[in-house]
Amino acid sequence: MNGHFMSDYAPLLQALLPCIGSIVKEVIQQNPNPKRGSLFSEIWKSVSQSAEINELLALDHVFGETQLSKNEIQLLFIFHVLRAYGFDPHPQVRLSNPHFFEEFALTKRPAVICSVHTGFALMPAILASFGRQSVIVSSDGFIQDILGRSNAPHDVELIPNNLLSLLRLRDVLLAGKIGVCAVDYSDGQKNSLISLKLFKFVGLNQFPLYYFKSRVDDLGLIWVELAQSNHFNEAMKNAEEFIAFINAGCQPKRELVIS
Amino acid sequence: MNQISEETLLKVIDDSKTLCISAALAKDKRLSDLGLDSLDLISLSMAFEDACQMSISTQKLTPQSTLEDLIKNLVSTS
Repeated sequence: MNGHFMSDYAPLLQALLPCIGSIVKEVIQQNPNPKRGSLFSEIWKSVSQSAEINELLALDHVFGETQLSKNEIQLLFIFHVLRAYGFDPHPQVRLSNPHFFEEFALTKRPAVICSVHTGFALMPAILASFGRQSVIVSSDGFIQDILGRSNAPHDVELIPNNLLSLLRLRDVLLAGKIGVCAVDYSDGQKNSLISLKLFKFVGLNQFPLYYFKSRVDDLGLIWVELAQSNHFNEAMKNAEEFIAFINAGCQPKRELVIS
Repeated sequence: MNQISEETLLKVIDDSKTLCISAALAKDKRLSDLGLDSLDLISLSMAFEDACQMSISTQKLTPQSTLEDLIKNLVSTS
């Protein structure tokens, strides 16, 4: 999930937190020693059925501002409240195309996995479950925290997004690892832009390129999908293909502009 | 530096066309002040690899390092 979200959308947070907080409190009072999975399921169900919360999370209102779906925001806030109550919830991740993940991991080749900030920090934990080491390139100051919550291995290497980041990424790719990078960024005016830099880097170095996305379903499960790029050496085509991948099967579509 | 002269390395930088000014004049300038981005540094590293089998080692570099620091941190790739 996007680490900036909590600070960027403070008004929504202020409106939603008391509603979700009272539901969490009620569920915990009814069952003070819950199993982790059942507690989350109960809270998710109650929050999903709350008319007040559904109104606050009406798609046309929230998605336009955050580019996050209702379920993504709901999951983010439930986790936030559960942590405030001292619980340590972990996302329940499901692979949409497990055979492809397995096939990808078995190649043992270096690769660049390109994603948007939503959910991209889940990737190191998923790759580790297939025995693959990854590095994550991010400018997000919250990334270490997010990785910790995503069950990522403790030794996941972080490359800060700066002047040297692509040189460092190249070094680790040449060592056979996988680089996970988010290519979306904000222009500060609520527009989500897609940078061509990573696609140009991949073309220059001929590294295999993959796309990754996640979505949260109506039960609060996170479904992740991996696909291979069909293009090489054409950064613009890569970017267009990536945006099409992110938006395939999603409603509403993310407004991503190539910069 | 594997007996490759600084002059040769500066010529590689100039030939790569990643800088707006002569590499000799830019030696003491910070990488972050030279208008370079991370993709330019990749192009530069590849130019060093092609011309003299050397690449940029990032271990001791920061965005505040100078062009001279970068040259000192070239390592052999052969």
